[in-house]
Amino acid sequence: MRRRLFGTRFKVGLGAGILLCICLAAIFAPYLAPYDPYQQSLVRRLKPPAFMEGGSLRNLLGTDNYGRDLLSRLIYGSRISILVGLASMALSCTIGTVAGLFAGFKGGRTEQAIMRFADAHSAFPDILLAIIMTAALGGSALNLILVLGISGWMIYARLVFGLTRSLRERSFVEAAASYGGSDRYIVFRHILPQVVPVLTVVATLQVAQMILQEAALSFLGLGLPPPAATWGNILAEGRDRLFGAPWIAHCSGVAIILVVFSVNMLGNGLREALDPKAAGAAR
Amino acid sequence: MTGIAPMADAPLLSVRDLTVRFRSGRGAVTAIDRVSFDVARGRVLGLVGESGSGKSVTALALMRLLPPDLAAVAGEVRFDGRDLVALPEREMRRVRGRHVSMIFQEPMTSLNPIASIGRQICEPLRLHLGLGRRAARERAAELLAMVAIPEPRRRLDQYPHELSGGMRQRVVIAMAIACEPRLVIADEPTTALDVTTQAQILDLLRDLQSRLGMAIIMITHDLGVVAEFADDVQVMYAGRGVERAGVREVFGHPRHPYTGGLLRSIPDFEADQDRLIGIDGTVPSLANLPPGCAYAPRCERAQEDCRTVVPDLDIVAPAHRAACFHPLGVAREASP
Amino acid sequence: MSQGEPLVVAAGLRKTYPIFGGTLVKRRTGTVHAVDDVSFVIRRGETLGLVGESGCGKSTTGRLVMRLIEPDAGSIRFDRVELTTLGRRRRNEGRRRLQLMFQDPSSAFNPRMRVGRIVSEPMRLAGATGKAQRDRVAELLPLVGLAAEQAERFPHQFSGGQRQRIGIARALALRPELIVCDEPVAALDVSVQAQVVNLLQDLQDQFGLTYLFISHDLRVVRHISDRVAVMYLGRIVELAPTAELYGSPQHPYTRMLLDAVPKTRPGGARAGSRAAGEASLAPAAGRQGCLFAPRCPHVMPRCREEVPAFREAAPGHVAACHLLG
Repeated sequence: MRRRLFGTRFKVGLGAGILLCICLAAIFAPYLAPYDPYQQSLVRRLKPPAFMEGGSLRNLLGTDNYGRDLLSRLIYGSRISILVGLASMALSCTIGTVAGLFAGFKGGRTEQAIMRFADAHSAFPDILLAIIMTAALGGSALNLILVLGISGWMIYARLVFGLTRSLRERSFVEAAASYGGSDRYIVFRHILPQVVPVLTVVATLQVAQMILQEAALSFLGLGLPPPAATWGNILAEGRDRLFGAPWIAHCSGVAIILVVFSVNMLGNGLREALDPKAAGAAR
Repeated sequence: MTGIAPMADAPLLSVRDLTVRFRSGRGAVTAIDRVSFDVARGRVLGLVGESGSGKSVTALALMRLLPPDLAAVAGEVRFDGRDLVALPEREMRRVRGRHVSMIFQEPMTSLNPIASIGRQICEPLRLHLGLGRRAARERAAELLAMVAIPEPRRRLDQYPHELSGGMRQRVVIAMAIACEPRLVIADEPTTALDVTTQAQILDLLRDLQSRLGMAIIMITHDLGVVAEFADDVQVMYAGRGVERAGVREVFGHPRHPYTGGLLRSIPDFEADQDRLIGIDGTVPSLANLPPGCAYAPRCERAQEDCRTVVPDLDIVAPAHRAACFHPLGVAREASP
Repeated sequence: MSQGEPLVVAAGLRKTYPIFGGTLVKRRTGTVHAVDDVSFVIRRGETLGLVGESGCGKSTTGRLVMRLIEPDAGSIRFDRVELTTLGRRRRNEGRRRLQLMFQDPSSAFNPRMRVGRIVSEPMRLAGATGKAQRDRVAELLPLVGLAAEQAERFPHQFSGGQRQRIGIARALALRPELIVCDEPVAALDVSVQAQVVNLLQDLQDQFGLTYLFISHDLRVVRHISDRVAVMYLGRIVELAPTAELYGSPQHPYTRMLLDAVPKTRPGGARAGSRAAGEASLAPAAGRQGCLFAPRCPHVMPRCREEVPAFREAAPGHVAACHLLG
């Protein structure tokens, strides 16, 4: 057995710990943020963070072009990022799982229709879909969730489809049918429980993906329109001042990296923890 | 045929105290424990055992195919005077496929699905014998003819999935004998095949063996295959050799209670039995072997000494070894 | 026990599967006749052995009897009730009287369920109360040689033989009359195989069970069966009482099969015809005439044109071969 750099517990603990902090920050944003994230102050424009030269403790992470407090904007921005990340993951996971279960269990034409549609959808650029939807519906958190959720279901569908196909061939599925289990019973009692651990891992990793996508879309102006405080928007604004005020882009960049890192840690840790072969040294 | 092998002739393969330990998350597991046996030139040794007996690990250890970071191999494997355990990997590669080759259980997985039959047979020929492209192809066709594959030339351009299971195993055999090795290790070569196909493959192996004069180690769980095919038999249990003798001896007068139990477990093909007499209990886990004889917990002859001391594979009758303090069919004057 | 009334009467069972081929576009290129005009009777309390090599349709036949797959043609009557025309609900009720046992004890159970739940699952589906289920599990596990406390464990904590015992317990849960055993000992070690075979026989004596015993192991089949049917490429070629079939096989395929079994007495030279050729389900091979003709040492021109009908060689011993004509 190969030795791992970090133990499974360490990974899950660290990942979950950082995420928990960020979630708490998002929930209690009004209490934690020192300022209103939208309050502009022309006097205090482009102040560097406290630890840099010229910075002060009044704005720990400095201010942006309009004199808004970056720390407050980051804290409020985490709300959007976390919400969009979780909700869009939930949406795409649900769509994909249902589609994959159907395709895998029914086979035949149902399978062909669903899986070919998934292929076609994969070939369609996400950004184009986002542009169309934003143009049609306008930028809002709900639309972001819809865009990201709908564009991500294919991974789940393929994964669940593959697993379902192979599980359907296993004897215990046939056994359940042989003593009178209905299709529904078999899918929910025998197939879904085997799929869930794998799904959990992929879903966790996808939350990070979704947060990145949200930032990317906002950065491109396809997410929530400014002045909304989202990590992507902060990053976009920071781009214009990358040389004069690099801390603007950096602070939201670091926040994104931190979340993605911790989610990946958690996902990898979960994968190891849920793998029956790794955990089940009980053999 | 027992014991007719010329005495002066040193055995082709001589295995002494071969031990393999697997490192795992929870300490080391001894997969095979001080296994010794000889294979004489041109003879067939049957290595029999149930799952977990260590018979396949023995084969892989002989070929040095166990992953070195997981398995620690100790002991001596003297092949034609050279100790294979101590041989540098470079030289071992020259031995593999050239002097010793292996036939695996599942022909579909031991053949490369995306390479033509011809290419796969030519590979060892060009690698070991340095044949040119054309000569190798000629020889490959000859080999296919030797293993009784019809239309050998056409088959060279076919792919494994186009052949039936029996034909695939014939191709695997052709690859194994390509360089006319002196020893072929066949690991359950017929287990995945139907019984009529199995009979054909065994006939083919026997025919090739007598024509090419190679020695064979036949690893199997099927006592019928051993009875038909082997000259000598080594029975394995929980990683240890428990009985070794000529095939008639083992089947006619089994000395180890485990061998006796195995033979009784097989439904008789000639006579009617009311009830099968199996062996109670299950094979012990290698990670958790009992002290003393590993078979003692299932053995009806077990005494106190069996539960404390591991018996050696000692001579219990002429040309017959068994690792048992209270062997079957031997006067029991020694036991208290 | 073979003089019981017929429990299962299968007549003219047929099941075909399409084969798809083609490089770019999938299209139907042929048909596999998995089961082709198969008829047999299983009497109450007997064991009918069904032997043949892989692909001969023996497992498909077992699943047709279980109604896990629909036959293309033919009828199955179980205790005088026609199963093929039964509605779904009635069929599920009827299923309690028929149970299936699987070959591979490692994939036959949901790895995330405890043994107690695995064994009681058929009862739960049949609507039994939780208490009834627990009581029955506590009764069944000792019956198959396991401890009642082991109901709390997971399948991977058991050895192969023990898992097959769990499979037997599950098959018994609803007190069936017929158990279709699909290669129940094929995955087991010989020493353990004997234990499971003995258990199956004991349970048969105790509960008057009827078995359809599907296996490629001619030794085990000889030991456990009252009568044996030999299948070749989807058709039954010979059916006889066990002693008859093994003592005086009539069909050349049966003879080839029996000759191919390695004897456990060394030195005994194998007598008779050696096996030749391999069974091929390839659709290209025509299905007119006797399917064994390409491999048969006694083939006659007639064999290639005319499907041999069953002829009685001895009372209760039938074989489909022109040599008997």
